Amino acid sequence: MNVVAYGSVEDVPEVDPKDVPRDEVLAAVFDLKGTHLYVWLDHDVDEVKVTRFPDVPRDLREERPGLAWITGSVEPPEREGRAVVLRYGPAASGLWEAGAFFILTYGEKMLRLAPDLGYKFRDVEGRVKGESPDVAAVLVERRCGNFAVHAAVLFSRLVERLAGVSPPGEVVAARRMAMELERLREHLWVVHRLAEAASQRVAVQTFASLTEDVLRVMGGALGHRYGFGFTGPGRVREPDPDPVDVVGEVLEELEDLEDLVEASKIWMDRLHTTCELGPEDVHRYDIEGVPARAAGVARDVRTMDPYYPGYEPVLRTEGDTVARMWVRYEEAKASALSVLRDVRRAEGWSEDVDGAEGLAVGVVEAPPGPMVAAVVMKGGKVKALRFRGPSHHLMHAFCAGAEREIFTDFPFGYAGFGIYFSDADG
Amino acid sequence: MPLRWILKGLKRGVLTHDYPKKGRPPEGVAPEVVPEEPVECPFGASTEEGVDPSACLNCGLCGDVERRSTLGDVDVRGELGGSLRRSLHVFFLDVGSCTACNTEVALVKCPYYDSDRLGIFFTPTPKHADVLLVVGAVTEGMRPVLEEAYEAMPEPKAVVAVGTCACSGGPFGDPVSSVVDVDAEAHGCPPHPLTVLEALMGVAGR
Ligand code: SF4
Ligand code: SF4
Repeated sequence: MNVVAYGSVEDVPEVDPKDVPRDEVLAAVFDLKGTHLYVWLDHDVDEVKVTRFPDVPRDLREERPGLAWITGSVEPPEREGRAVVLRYGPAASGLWEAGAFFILTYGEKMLRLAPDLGYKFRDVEGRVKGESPDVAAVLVERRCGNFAVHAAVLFSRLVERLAGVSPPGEVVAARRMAMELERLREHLWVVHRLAEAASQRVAVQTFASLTEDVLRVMGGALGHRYGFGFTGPGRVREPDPDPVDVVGEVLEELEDLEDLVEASKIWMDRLHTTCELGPEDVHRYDIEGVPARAAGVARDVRTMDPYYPGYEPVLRTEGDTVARMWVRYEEAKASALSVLRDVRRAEGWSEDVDGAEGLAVGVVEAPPGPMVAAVVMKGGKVKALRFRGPSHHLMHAFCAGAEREIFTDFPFGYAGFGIYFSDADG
Repeated sequence: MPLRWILKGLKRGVLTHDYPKKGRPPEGVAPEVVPEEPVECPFGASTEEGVDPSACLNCGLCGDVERRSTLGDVDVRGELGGSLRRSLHVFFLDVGSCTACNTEVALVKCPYYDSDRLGIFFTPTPKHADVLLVVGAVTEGMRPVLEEAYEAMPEPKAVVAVGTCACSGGPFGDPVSSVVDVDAEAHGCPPHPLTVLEALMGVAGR
């Protein structure tokens, strides 16, 4: 199960986080109502679990080094001997976003990196306080427009759980279709960015136009190119099935291009062994999502999501940028198939969620990794929201993978993670 | 290998639209929409006079009302003209977006829209730019960066605000015009790539 609910924060079991088995993944720590909610992903039983504890024990960091990433307590690197610290960003055209990295460098090598977060902080969590679920959903989907559908679906499911309503199968199909269109578009866009980093001009244009094809499908089928407004708590817009036919052509094109991409030696050589993260890194730093699956670790929260019965994660073993690209490529094809299966079933929906009351915590698998949220509803309004997009943790994972790489590998490594500062900052 | 890619590209054929160079907006590009008449808007985008397209989030919360497309919905207040009519160098700056606007701007280079054919090129430094293209509502951290980028540009120069956040601040902060003068706005949340191109052609004086 990917969503849990409680009457209030006090009903969450109090557990010392050091007592939680090490193989449960710590996905988020939310500071809420004077306590800390710990969100765990248990992949053995495919469940999200929530515990609370008054603080974040200092020695937990030794056991779980990824905790510093989660709590944002990573110190930026400092000058060491002849190595100096550069700041790349926040207006660097290579990032195409307001954000920056500190890079400790000597010669060509990047010795240590850390993200410089906060340039895009828009306080979505603070702004939704006191708002109706509908207004809050509009803001939540604009945390990171590229993951808008996943954010809206996650938030909606939490509110619906607290209101005691659940959508029928046809509506689940509509939401799943929208999420898989978003995943398909994002995966194509990441392949495009990887081609761009390797100056593969024809591949750049090919994957950019495929991305645009999917954006047009989303515009036609969902009513918005990024799926804004398609769904909210207790509602789903009636999808238009006709534009979705193009997804079949995109799938054919992907199958057709596969050999060509694989045989593009210069392109693949640039990605090969770049920004490696092995299974031991994945376990050590509580890494989830595409980088975990590319290292052979089957972490995909769709396996615990009732919207995805029987889901089997896509895996590679090499743990480098090539492996992450092929995980995305395979998932893009699976997303296209899933969209084509769902489209004729998908229906709109409208149900009252006024009675939503209490705390709900949940997780969905956004294109790069898990998106986690906790919402407290009271009197039909949002009392508190805590939201953690996948990019926050993966910014740090990218930095860990890029250590000791040379500067020219930066764009490949970064593009392959498919992450955004807007999602990390919130 | 490059040959196989080129053949693949040729097989896909010419995708580029004539518009906005000539012709009409292509069918099926699914632009975002704003209400035709005043509505109840929780985001303050509607007054008695009507809906302000620079503030509308295209969220649809105002329900089942008559809507119009925002494709090509630009507000051009100043033109560069001269030799810049034909060739324009653009510095892209994000000052606090949700990143959907960034993707739409990046897509102006894709084969469907092909900004190169219109003489519109992106440059990695404001020192070589004629136009500062800004997305997002200005966050505290990005305010000085926006000022510095503008200062670094040579004259003549223009600022294009892209998207509701940049044009009006949207729900998240201050508009770009609170920091530097804006010469053109591209409306939409996010604006369509063709709308972005229209705003750029507008400041070029085309
Ligand atoms: S679409 Fe949304 S932002 Fe625009 S007028 Fe309607 S409610 Fe307001
Ligand atoms: S205008 Fe809309 S799409 Fe653009 S940054 Fe703002 S919220 Fe995102």
